[in-house]
Amino acid sequence: MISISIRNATEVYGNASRCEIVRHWVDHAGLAKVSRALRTLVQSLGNEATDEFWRRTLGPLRRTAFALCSTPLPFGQAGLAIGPDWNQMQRSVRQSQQMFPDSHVLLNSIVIELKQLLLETSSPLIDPLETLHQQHGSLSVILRNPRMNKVVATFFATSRTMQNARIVSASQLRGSHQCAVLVAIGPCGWFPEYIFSAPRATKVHVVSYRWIRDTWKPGPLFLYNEDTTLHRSSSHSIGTMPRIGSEESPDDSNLSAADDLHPPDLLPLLPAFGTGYSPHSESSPDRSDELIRARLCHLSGARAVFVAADDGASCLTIDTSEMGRAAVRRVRVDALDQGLCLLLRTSGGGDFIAPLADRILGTMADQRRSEQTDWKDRLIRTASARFGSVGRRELSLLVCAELRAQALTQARPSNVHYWMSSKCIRPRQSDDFAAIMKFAGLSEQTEYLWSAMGEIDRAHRRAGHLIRRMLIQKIAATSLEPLERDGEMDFELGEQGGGSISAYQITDVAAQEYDVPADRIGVMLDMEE
Amino acid sequence: MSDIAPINLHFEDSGKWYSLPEWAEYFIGVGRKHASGIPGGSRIVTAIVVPTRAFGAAFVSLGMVINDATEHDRVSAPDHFERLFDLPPGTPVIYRLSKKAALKGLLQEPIEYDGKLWVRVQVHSQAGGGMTYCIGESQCLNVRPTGGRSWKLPKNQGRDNTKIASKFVDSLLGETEAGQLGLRSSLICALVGQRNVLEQEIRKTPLAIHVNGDAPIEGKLQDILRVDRFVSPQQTYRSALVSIGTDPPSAEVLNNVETGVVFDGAVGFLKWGKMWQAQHQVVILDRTEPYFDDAINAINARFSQNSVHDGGELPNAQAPPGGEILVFREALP
Repeated sequence: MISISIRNATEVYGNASRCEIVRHWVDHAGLAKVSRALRTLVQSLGNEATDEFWRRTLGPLRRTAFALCSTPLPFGQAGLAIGPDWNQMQRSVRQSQQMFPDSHVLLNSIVIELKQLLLETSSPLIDPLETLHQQHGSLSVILRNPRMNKVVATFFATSRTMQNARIVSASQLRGSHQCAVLVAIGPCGWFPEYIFSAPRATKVHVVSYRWIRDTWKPGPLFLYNEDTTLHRSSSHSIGTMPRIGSEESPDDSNLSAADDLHPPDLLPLLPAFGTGYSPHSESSPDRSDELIRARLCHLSGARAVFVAADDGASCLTIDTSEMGRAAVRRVRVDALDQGLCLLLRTSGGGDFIAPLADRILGTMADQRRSEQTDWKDRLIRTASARFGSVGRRELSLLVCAELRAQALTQARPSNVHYWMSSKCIRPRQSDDFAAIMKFAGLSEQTEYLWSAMGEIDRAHRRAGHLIRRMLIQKIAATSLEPLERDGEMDFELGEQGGGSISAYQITDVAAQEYDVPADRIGVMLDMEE
Repeated sequence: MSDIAPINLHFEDSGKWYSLPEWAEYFIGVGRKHASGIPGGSRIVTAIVVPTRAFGAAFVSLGMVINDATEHDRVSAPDHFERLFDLPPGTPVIYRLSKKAALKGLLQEPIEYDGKLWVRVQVHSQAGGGMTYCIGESQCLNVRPTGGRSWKLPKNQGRDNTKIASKFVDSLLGETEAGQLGLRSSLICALVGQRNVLEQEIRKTPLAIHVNGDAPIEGKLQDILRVDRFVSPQQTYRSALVSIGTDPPSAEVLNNVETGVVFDGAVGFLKWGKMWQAQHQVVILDRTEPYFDDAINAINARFSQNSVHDGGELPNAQAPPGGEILVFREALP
């Protein structure tokens, strides 16, 4: 939580008691038809909707329709921002004719109509925004999909009629951010409830399509008894809450309640991993895969990343609630939490420390990395020769048991497993290193390799410090508002050898840990595909 | 919002002092309604939902400490005299000569003279003549230990050391009880929350009290709360901060809190809400915070499973703007 002053807190309490929430309904017959058709298709498919074919087909369709329903951009521009692959969609339509003849006609019509919609150069969501902007002089606007924040902010900045409209994020509306007028695009159910129940504005306008049901109103959270006697067992009350103001009725005589879409109907599909590996899958990865214990961090914009969760593992983060040096810090993986921003290199495997460490090692980098790979290979080969062809985790268990039987180490199997992985440079204790060197038949080289791996270790530490220092310098000269607004921000550290690093706001951290192939650590996963 | 008389605190904004807003008085009132000790077999759980939890826990704790000060019998002169005798020579004290005059002092060995016992307070250094006052039982309430580090006495000092005597504390707690702050440590309450946020609110936010139209007397919440993490080892404390890091609360904090535990947010409550067995609990939940829904579910589960109707009275529950409050008596585990 960002510390806020007594004055700001007083404004928040004032907003809570004075705020009025006004709903505005807009229409678009074509978009309503496509949205309902999509819902019908998904409902008719039932469980089949999660099959690979339908996931790949429905994903882009739903994302595109959702963008039109939730983004105040001309339909054509929204389409460009989403960039659906029409050729792929046409192929899917053709395939469906053979594979799913019952659904083919509906799918075909959805694709044709959606493509037609993207030719339009306006959006019904823009008119009410322009009117409100004209009335109030400025607006803060919140969108359901933060990935559209940048493109909409650019649209506002270049628009003659909405230059004083600015995009804000749900996380900004947690703190001391105050605005006179806030506009939410889409039904209340698409946003965290606090946007409306703890508003950071004196007036909140909700602009949404008429056929998306929106019944939110403030209500009690606690269970309670209606007991008003003197010696009652509980006491309960609700303070003054934001008022749902006058609004035109969403009712349309041509529509029945059954035609209404519910807010979740339009949201993109439930999270699934499009890159072939599912952490929820029961099937084991290939035995020869190098597996790393990892935690799944959900990131802003429906993305996710696995971070290594070995003992004491930590990640470099930005904490936007802190100032200056304190904003950039290493956080233990088990302490990662919502709101912190994870630093990742989005290209090159996500690791931004190792490339810089290699630069620090200079001409010795190749030799040291080769030595690092060699002793691990030797350890794994020796273990496989001794215990046969078993999975890496079982191998670690057997090696550990033997080392402990010989009183060479107190390490746990998970430690041995990590030492075998390419992510590990060397064990923390020299005794442990000597034990595995002895097991691998490398006793004579123990001292040399300990020292050589120490060089890599120091280079990694130095790289970490350098990156942190570069980021601190960068942050000192840059506003972090885009990070708070969009949930992501790029930092170009290229001129200092740091390359390009991106920060992503964590929206959730899965409690469960997974065994993940090492090459998946730090790789961005798209939860929408 | 609160039916307890407000205290005359002010906060600063852009160089001007303003009366504490109603919501802040509300939280102080919530704290003041919690008496120390659990008379029956149940405790009071107060869960408050707010649009922002800023300063909520700090002000509830302030209310608890003020309540503790006022509900206890004022210490008698004989008791205070006896306690001063137990303190070691060299203990730093404030000696109040009158309402507006106070001196820095160091306790010296007590003496017996003319058949009576006297506490001795040295106020000038040896180089300045070593002036020492002998104070009898009837005047002993004017001597108050600071509870802090020892200090160096000046060669000479005027009588205008009111600053060190903290009129801010005197005005809020009353002079007699203010003196007790330095005598002994106690844990009236524990605050469970994010250290940096609570530190900003308690140690770094200037407040002031206006008395009889005089100039504002400045102070910080820390002057009253004396949070253990923010005092030096030599100083006495009145409340404990339990940071929501990885270390659980210590046995001392778990066992010795006298009045209640104040949870500043969902995380601390979800993590350690069940660890305190026999203290009142005040849980402040911010609608905007992560894990808010989980904490609401946890409160509802405790209410439905543990609430008891044992005849014990409950404080009135009025919710703040944008808030909701549930107060119930919970059977002790």
